[in-house]
Parts: sequence; structure tokens; C-alpha cells
Amino acid sequence: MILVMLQAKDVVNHSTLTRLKDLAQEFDNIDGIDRCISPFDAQDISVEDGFILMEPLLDSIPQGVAAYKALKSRIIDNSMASRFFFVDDFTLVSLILVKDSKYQDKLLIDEINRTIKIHPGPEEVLMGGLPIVRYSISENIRTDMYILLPIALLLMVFMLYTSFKEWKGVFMPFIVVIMSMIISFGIMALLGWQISLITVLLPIMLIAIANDYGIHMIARYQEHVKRSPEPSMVQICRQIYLDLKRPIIITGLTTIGGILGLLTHTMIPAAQLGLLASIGIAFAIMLSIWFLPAMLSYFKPVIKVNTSRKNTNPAFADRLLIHFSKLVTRRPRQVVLVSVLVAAIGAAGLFFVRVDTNIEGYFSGKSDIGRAITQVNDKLGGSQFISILFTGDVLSPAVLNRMDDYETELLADPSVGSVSSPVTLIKELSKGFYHPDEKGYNQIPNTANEVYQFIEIFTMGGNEDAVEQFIDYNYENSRLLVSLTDGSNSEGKRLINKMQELTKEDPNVKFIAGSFIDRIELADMVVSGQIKSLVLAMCVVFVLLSLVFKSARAGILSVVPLSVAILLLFGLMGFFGIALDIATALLSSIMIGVGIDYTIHFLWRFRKERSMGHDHKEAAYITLTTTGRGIIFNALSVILGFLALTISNFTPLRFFGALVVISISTCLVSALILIPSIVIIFKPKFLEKRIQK
Amino acid sequence: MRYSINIYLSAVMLILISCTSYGQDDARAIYIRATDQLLSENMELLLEVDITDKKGRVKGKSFEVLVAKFGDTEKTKMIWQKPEAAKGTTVIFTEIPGKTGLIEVFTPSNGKIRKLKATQENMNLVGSEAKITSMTSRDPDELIFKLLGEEVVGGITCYNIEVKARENTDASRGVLTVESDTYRIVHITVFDKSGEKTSIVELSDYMPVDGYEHKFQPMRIQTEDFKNKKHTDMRVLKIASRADLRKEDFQLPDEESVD
Repeated sequence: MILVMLQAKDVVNHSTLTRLKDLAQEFDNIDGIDRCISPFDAQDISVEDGFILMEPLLDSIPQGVAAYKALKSRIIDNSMASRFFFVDDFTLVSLILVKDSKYQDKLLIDEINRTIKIHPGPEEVLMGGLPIVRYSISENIRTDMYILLPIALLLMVFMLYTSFKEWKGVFMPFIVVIMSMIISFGIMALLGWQISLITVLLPIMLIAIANDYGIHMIARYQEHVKRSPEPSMVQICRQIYLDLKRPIIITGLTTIGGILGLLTHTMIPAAQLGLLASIGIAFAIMLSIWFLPAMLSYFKPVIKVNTSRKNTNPAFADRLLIHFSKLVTRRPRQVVLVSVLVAAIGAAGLFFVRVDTNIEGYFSGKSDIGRAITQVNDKLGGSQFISILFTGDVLSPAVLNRMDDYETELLADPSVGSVSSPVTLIKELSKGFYHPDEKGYNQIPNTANEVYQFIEIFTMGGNEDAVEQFIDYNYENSRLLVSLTDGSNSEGKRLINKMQELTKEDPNVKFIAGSFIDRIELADMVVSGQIKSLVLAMCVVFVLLSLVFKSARAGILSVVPLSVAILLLFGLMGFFGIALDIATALLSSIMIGVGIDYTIHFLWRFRKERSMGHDHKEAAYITLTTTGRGIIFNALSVILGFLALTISNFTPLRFFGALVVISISTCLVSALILIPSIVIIFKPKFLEKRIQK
Repeated sequence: MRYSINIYLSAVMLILISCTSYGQDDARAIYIRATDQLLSENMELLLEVDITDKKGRVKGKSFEVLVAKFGDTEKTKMIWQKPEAAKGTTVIFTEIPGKTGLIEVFTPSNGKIRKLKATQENMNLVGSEAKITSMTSRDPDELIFKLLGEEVVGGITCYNIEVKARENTDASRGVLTVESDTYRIVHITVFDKSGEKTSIVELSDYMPVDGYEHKFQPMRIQTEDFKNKKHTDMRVLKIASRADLRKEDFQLPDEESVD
């Protein structure tokens, strides 16, 4: 169903109604529209001198203030017109287009837009309904790709250059990202998978993650150049390969492991994203280990790259790392205590996390579609429906009276916009057979035969479509249609429960259905997918780290910063009312996959420094001021990559971008402060290696 | 349903009205010869109708129909026989050339009699065949006939004749396919002003009418309504000449007499 709405200060005037009529007539002839239901189809039924006056409400378009006033009063009296087409203050009038389900959204909506252009007018035209929302999503995905991709690439180039101050440091990781994107999208095309709201994240993820390994290579290369008085590029490249081969493979594997956690999602696009991103990252790891040092060896080393006074960022990073080093070496216990406190606060927020899969929430209220959704929900009772399906003798007064009771009960609920059922139509038809002062007027008839005969006479005049909105062709099934002004999952669930409770004793109620129910199921899938992917990603990290450091304690230790970040993340979502939706449900897997890298890099270098005879505090200090630089650049790269999402057309992606920034920052801070503090306090044995001489 | 009856009656009327024009040209002659076989008024019919909608759902109904002409006034009375819930519902259509028609409705469930004005607008809603009805209600001299050619239908050579009103305001037209040997109408195709096919009416199972030596009636009329994507299969279970029909036969029961 598509709603086309004309909005003006007052829509009851000759020009607006003429435009509406022209549009309705044109829409009726469009392939792909089964029928266009308009105020011109609304029948005004009454009895006058023995004649049933079954006349169209808008037989002719009136002119003049008095005529407009009279029409408004007839609209208010006509329950069909006032419920479905006009809003109370007459600032909006709508047309309901019933779409042929087999027809493509895009083709149809293009044709509708073309028709609207042919009939211009001063009224603002808004369009709503599920096909419009779906169409807007696919169009915005395309726009997002065109805008976000270059912005993310530019941010990456900016970050790389400001970090390394040499073009090698930009070009090398950049080429790795581009090549991994080509591989991932190539596979996506080969498999015939489409770009969806979830898979649109793929290029952003690769831009943010695939260059991380290259960044560590470049950072280590610059570290060696700084240290060596007469550096040989081939030797440096060989050395960085030896230094970083294992940590890169390990961090890469944990990232892939975390992201592969998405495969457990029941949402297919999430699983597709997990697989494609993992393939891209695996390819990026290979390129970073072998291709990047090989290419780098052809260049000449740039000496003292970071000594320029103009280079403020690295100096800032260095200063920050020195502060961190001092903090963790002097006050490790306080750091742990504060972290526990932050995690506890986050845990409290968990109780407020809500799940919402309402696709209407994807758009900001300022966009055309966002405004249309608001208008439909606020003024036309909403475009999301739940149906109560009745079967059996649906024309019997007993069933109709029960429907009437349900209607009254549901209309009293603040989340219900409108309720329509055969009762509305049948009561309206009774006005054609009974006088207002007669028993039976605006009432449900006493026999099923009378109801049948009302409908038979009504359909003789070509009104079958009006009947079929509520009762099927053979009068065997009927429905009560409830529209929701609040399309959130929590309200929807509550209403469904209320309907189930209300109709549990009714033998004619077949089931409660509607796309809304599917959404609730999707929400359950989001939650279960989130839990499963979280558990799987944590397990992968634990097992991998335990194997790498040959200690279960290493596994436990690596999970600590992630747990803090997860608690803080979901806590913030709870406190700020950010819903867990199909996009934010991907957060934990990505955060674990990416966020664990910083801990691994720290632990790896720390163990090396310990093996060289430094005590715990010295090892932590050296690790932070050397490897810490690569970790910061790595995290900055991820943060800037995902930051591009904050200008997405979709609200869930904007939240997703912001939350990734927060969670990665938490992982970064945890890896640079919390982990060093823990290893200084607890001195875990798995970090003690034979002292090298 | 009324749609189907209209098609039936329209086909018959279309043919009969032009009887006087016999011999004017080939098309007209063929047309009139075909029409001469059909009974169009003062008759009683028992009809069974299956209406299939665009989703393939079938609704079955049956009617007793009386058709008579009193001077210029044409009356059609339909009494629902099936389904049971509608049994006894009666509708009388009164049409007078040049005047607003009248539809009277009797619903036995509440004993109410109501009337509706049969405007061209609501008649149009009844079915797309209204275009032919409007043609047939004119003087036959206002119709234009054209022989489009011949075609073989079911192994029988048929004439295709185009019929449209001389002053055709909406430019719709019908093409009749008539068997060349028996002069029976096989089907009528209706086109709208843009030349698009709106419906096809197939007439078959011709049977002689009792009491008339040269009258034959199609006992099955199937209509494909392309506009509304509806298929109607109407079977004439009984047809009888009723020269005895009087105006009183087209009256509804008194409201008071019904419980």
C-alpha cells in the first residue's frame, strides 16, 4: 500500500481537489497499481423519499466558501472519508494506492513521481507506505555508497599522511585497502549477492580495518629508520617482516574470528557481510605481510620523518603515550578500579537497552520520507498494520458484534491510530436502508442474511473493491485492520499481546497477522544473533590468545578490555535510548574483531621487552612509547573510517558509526591503560620469556 | 452479475434494433440476419452465473429474470435464487430512452424497498458493456456497420463486423464475429476509445426457443472483462417466451406485507 498525500493549509478547495481527482484517475491507469482508493470512491449513503442515495461523497468538486464548509461537514459525518482520507484539521488529504505485489517498487514509484510532475500544484506531495520506505532505503543505499566511500577514503589518506608524514605511508596501506575491496566486491558479484543496508558497511569496514596491518608495518619501519644511523631499506623491510609477521597474523586471525561471528546471525545480509569482510581482511593481511615490505624495499628511507616541529599529531601521540606510561606505572591499581567502576556503570545501562527493527526509524524526521512517515503516523493513524483475521460465518451478527467490541476496546489504546473492519462498512450501509430515527440505522443488522443483502446491493454498483478491503470474495474470511501510531517493537509487542488476550475466546479468530509480526520476529533474530555472535567472537578470541601465549590466562586477560568496552557500549545505548537494530546488532562482532588487536600488539611487545630484561614497569613504558604509536594510528584509522558513517542517510548507520568510534576508543584506552596496569599488578607468567642476552 | 445479463441483453438488442436496415450493405445484412434469430424481450430466463475474480476465486449465483418492453419502457426484473442468503432479493431496472432510469431494490431480510437512480455514471460502474447498450438504445440508422473481413473460427468461416454509433462520443466500438453459414454470433469484442480490447463475450450452445420456429438462443455466454480482470460464465438454464408479461409482474412486494 502506498499513500500519496497532498498537504496544504486547507485541502478542501477546488484546485486541490481537482488535482487530487486528476492524480487519482491517472494512478488508476498505472500498471502495477491494482486500484487507487480515493475520497472520490467514498460513498455517502442515506435514505430520502424512499430512495437510497448512494452517491459519491465528492460527486462534483464544489466551489465557494459555503460549499467547502458543507463538504467538510459531510466528510466529518462520513466515517469512511474521515478515517481514511482527510485529517481532522483538513491540512492533508490522501490517496491509497494498492500495489500489485509482483510489480517492482522502483518502476512503480518512478511512474507515480512522473504522474505527480504532470499535475503540479501548490500543495506539497508526500508519499508513505512500506513500498516507499523500501524504495527510499535502496535509493539511499546507493547515495550512501557514492558519498561515504570517497569520504572514508579521503579521511584515510588524511589520517595516514598526518600520522606518517611521508607518501609511502599513505600509498602502501591505501593500495592494500583498494585491493582487498576489489577482492571482496568481486566475490560478492560472483555470488550474486546484493548490496543491502547491512552490506553497505563492507567498504567502510575494509577502509577502516584492512589498512591496520600496513599501518603497523609503516610505524615499525619509521621506528627502525629513527634508530639506525645508516639504515638499509632491505634490512629494515626484512626486520619489520620478522618483527610483525606473527602479531599481524594473530591480530588478523582474531579480527577475522570476531567478524566471522556474524555468520551466526539469522539475518542473511549480516552473515554475508561477515564472510565478505573476512575474505577482504585475510587478503589485506597477506598483502601487508608480503607485498607491502617487498614494495617498501624499493624505496629509499626517509630519515627523521617525525622530527619536524610542524608535525604536531605524532608529537601529540607521543606526549599522550608518555602520559599513559606514567599513569600506568605510577597508579596501576587506581586505573583498574576506575575501569571496574566504568564497567559497572555500563552494566547498569544494559537494563535499558531496547530492541527496535522499525524501518521507519531509519530516516531522519527532516528527510521527505521521514516527514511523510511522521505525517502518516501523526495524522492518518499510521502506516503499519496488524490484522486480526476472522474465518467462518463472518457476516453473522455475533461475529460482527464481537468485532465491534474489539474495535471499541482497541481504539481506546493510545498507540492505535485507527481500526477498520467490515463493521464500519456495514453500519454505513445500514444508513441506506433505515432512517436516522429508525432502529437499525448505523447498526449491525440482526441477521446474516440482511448483512449479505446489504453487501449484495452495494456491490451491484461496482463497489466490490470497497468490500474486499475487509471481507474476502466469498465472504468466508474477514479482517479487522489496526493501524499503529507508534511503530516501535515494544508497543507492537504490547498491542499484539493485548489483541491475543482480547480474542483468545473467540472461535472465529484465525490468527493475528501483518508485516508488523514479521518485524517482531526480526527483532528476536537481532537479539539472538547479537548474543550468538558475541559469544562466538569472545570464544574465538579466548582460544586464539590462549593458544598464542600458551596460557588460558592470556585468553582471560585479552577478554577483559573487550568486556569493559562491551559493557560501556551497551550501557551507553541503554542510557541514551539508542536501539539495538539490524545495524547496531553488528557492533559487538566488529568491535571484538578489531578491538582485540590493540591488546595483542601490546602484549606481544611487552613480552619481548620483558625478555630483554626490562622490569614490568620499564617494559610497559617502552611498549607504550613504541608500539603504542602504531596502536594509536591503527585505532585512529578505524575510528576515522567508521566516522564517515555518521553522515549516512540512515539513522541506524549514523548510530552505528558513532558507536564504533566510542567502542574502538574504549578498546584503545583499555589496551593502553587497563592492560598495562593489570600486567604490572598481576605479573602474569605467560608474559615471562627466557631473558635474551 | 448484472454485467453478464447486460451483455446478454445488449448482444441481443444490438442485433435486433437494426433489423429494419436489412439489405443496406453486406455488413448490415449479415448483422441483421444474425439478429433475427434472437429473442430479446418478453421472456423469462433462469440463469446460473459463475464469476471468477482476478485471483481465481469463484462466486456462484443464480437468478430468475423477466424482461419485457411496454412501449418505450424496458423493464428487467432479477430475483436472486442462490446463494441462500440472498434468496428473494429482487431488483427491477426500468429504462426509458432519454430519461433517467430507475433501480428498485427489495431486500427480504428486512422487508425494505429502496430505489436508486440509474444514472449513466452508476450504470457504467455495472459493466463495461454499457457502451454497447448505449449504442443499441439509439435509432438503428445511427449505427455504422463495416465488414472487416472473414476469419476461420473452429473450422467455420466467420464474418467480422464492426459496429459503432454514428455519433460516437467516446469512440468505443464492438466487433461481432458471425458464422457465415448459420449467421450465429460467435463472439463480440469490445474496444475502448484508445483501441484497447476491454472485453470479449463468447456466445455458444445455441438452442431453438420453444414456440418460435426461427429463434435460437445462446445458452452459454462467457465474458472476459479485461479491465476488471474478471471472468463470467453464464449458463441459461431455461428460456421461455412470455408474451403475457404485464406491468404488474414488475412490481415489488409491499413493505408492510413482509416481516
